[in-house]
Amino acid sequence: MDAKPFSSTGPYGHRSRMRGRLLAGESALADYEILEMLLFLGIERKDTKPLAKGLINQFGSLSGAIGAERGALATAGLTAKAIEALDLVVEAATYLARPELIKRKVLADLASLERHLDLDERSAAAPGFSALLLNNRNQLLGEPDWPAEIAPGELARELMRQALDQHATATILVRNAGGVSPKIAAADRVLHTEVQRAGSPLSVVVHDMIVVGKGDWVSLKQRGH
Amino acid sequence: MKIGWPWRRAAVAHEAATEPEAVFDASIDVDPALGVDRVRAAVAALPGAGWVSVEPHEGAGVEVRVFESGSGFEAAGAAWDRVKREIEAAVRSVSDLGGWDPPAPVRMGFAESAAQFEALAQLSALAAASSTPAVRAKRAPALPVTMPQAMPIAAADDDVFRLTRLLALVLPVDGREAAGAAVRRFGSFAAVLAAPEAELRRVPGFGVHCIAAVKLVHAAAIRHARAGLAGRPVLDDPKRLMEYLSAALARERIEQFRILFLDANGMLKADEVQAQGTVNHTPVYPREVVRRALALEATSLILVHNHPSGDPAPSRDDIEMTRQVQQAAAVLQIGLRDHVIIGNGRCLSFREQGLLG
Repeated sequence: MDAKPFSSTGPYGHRSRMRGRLLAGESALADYEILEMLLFLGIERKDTKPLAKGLINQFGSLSGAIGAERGALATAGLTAKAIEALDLVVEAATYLARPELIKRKVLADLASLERHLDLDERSAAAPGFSALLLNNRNQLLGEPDWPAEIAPGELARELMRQALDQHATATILVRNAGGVSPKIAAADRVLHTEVQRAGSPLSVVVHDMIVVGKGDWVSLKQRGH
Repeated sequence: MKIGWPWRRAAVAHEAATEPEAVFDASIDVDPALGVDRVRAAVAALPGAGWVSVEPHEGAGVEVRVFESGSGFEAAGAAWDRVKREIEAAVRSVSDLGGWDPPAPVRMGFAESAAQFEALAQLSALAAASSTPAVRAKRAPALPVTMPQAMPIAAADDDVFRLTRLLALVLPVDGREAAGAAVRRFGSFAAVLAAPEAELRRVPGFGVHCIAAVKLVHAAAIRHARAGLAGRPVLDDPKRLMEYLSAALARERIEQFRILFLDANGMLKADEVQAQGTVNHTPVYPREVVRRALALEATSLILVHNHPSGDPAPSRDDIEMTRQVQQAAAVLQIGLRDHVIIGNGRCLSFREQGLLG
């Protein structure tokens, strides 16, 4: 088996260090370093720094090189693969600038919440817990679920982990009771309090807890909790 | 106290067919036993309150409704937001129960027709955003949208193809499947480019080389877009400015506050990220903004931040902060040329909306 080169020497070590710097924060990289890395994509096993610096001198800037006439780039020594990398940057700039509407479900009223809960289907599913993760515009960011046996403390922890991951600022807890008609149990109040206590220092507000079952639902908040 | 989580909206809309038209309708989380009489008295005591109904809720809390006919609010020509604020204040005065804040632009209004409902909802969204009278007088009556209507997400096949080409630069094998998985997960080619490293790592088939290639092209594309602003005064081409800012900020998951520093000719001198905030807030210190402008010898500024929720409507804090920065900058004769909020598919310019005072 071939021995790998030392990580601190040769183009491999240099390239992986550059990747590390990129992922640590691209703003620390100079324009010529970004171009040097783009050239990595098309030119193997060679120091691409002199070429990158040469291109910036020739075309005036990183952007000048990226947008340069393709024939001139080939003459300057770029492979087809390296030119493809620059093409992709130009396309990426176009697509990033285009407004994209990310459609998210809005749960701002009873009707939309009920539609989302899809009571009949939920009642048919196995009992368990889920949480609607919302942002400050009541848009649904995700809905993780857990088995019915989960302990309140663990559920609260897992819910907060997900809420932070999804950048949620609020949640509505849902317990699916399955085929039995929904009732707020003492355990639900305990769970609600537990989750509220976990969410408060993390700025995750618990709007409500809802119990779904037998095609119907009840809300802890409506019951004056 | 809660105003605006309209649990009973559907039921109220149903009853409304036989009732006079309510111009304000909200259920408020106050213990009825503790609150109804006091809320009723407080609301009725508001100057201009005409026909106001305050009733206990079936579940909990009280329901406040103001009816159009005979309502002095209407006669006084009071704006919707004032009605809302006065009622909120009145209710707060009798109860200091905690709870979640009114979520800004949700349906606060109530009306017979869907169109009227929309109009009220938009109005209340803007109302929530304005605090000073000067600002309120100038605001536009509709949700401001600067960018052209957002396009539906580009055909997914094109996006997968483009990402496959990118992965082909680093993968020895066909990357179509990995590209497909990533586009499905994040929604588009652009969204994959902007995705955080930690989330890219969860995509099957995405190793360090793929992630580095994606983040590299993302970084290079944003620098390329920024270079497009050079060579002419930034505000001469607002569309290009919005495009660059969208590229840089529209897909960020948390708030980021940036400043574009301009020279005496309005040309871009520097574009700096000043602060990373949390999902819905970024701290900004006017003194530091001005200090940085002086260090860069900038003569004017454009403030920029993003709303990860996607809605670019300015919050009360946004407007207040803008005013503070403007005042601080004016002391040193630095002009605030604009404050741009980047939403999702939409942007808002304080300058275009006349919010700069």
